[in-house]
Amino acid sequence: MPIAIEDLPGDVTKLVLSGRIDIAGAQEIDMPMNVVAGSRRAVVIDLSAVEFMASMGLRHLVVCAKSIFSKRGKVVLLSPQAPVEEVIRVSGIDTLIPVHTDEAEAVAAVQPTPG
Amino acid sequence: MPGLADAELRVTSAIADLARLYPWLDHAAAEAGLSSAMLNGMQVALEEAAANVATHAYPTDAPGPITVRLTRLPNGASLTVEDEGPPFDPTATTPRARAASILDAEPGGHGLTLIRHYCRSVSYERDGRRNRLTMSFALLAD
Repeated sequence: MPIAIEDLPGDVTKLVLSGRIDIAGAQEIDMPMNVVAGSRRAVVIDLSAVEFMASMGLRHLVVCAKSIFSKRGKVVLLSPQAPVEEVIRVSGIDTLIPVHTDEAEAVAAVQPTPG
Repeated sequence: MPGLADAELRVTSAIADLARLYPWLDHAAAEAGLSSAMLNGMQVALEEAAANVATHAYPTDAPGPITVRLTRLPNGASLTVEDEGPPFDPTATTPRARAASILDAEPGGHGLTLIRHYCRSVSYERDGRRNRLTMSFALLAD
């Protein structure tokens, strides 16, 4: 399964995607990403182990992030490899979902602001 | 100009069948002597073209045939994607404007933007009952 869910301190969820998020891979992550989108508010999507992603995969990122942002939650992307980063940049997803390269900064970025 | 090396794959637009495109392209590109530097862009463009066919050419519950061909050219390579759906020219569609925020974003709509980014040229023709999309790629060295 090209998706794993880790709970981090501070109610932060790390969603680790891996391998090829191609047409078949996108189908595999569909249900688990819907669950995360429906139940979590602070999510870091770790893309460091993703070798391939095109718009079928991007679609899931957008749907998940939109759902969480609409509930005043936060989502960031973490450390895409160069080919995946290129797809994210060309399609403009990086202007909609922040991209971080440092995990501590990514976690800090999604944590609720005190007060 | 005839290609220097050709490979062809026939699949259907069923999702499980489309997964065969990637290993086929990996193998065909290697056989044609194409660099791995070209492969990611070709895979992205092929996925977008195939996803377009699966979306526009055939009903989800009645997958239809897709023929994909790789042709090695002296200065690059081309991928041709054919289907037997109603006439549909993806090159005539307007890429969706970028959303101002994630809350305004609609999923999808990036296929043609990605194809144009990775391809040297893209052309469409209707040939009898077939749609034919030809995407050409510049030769890249590793």
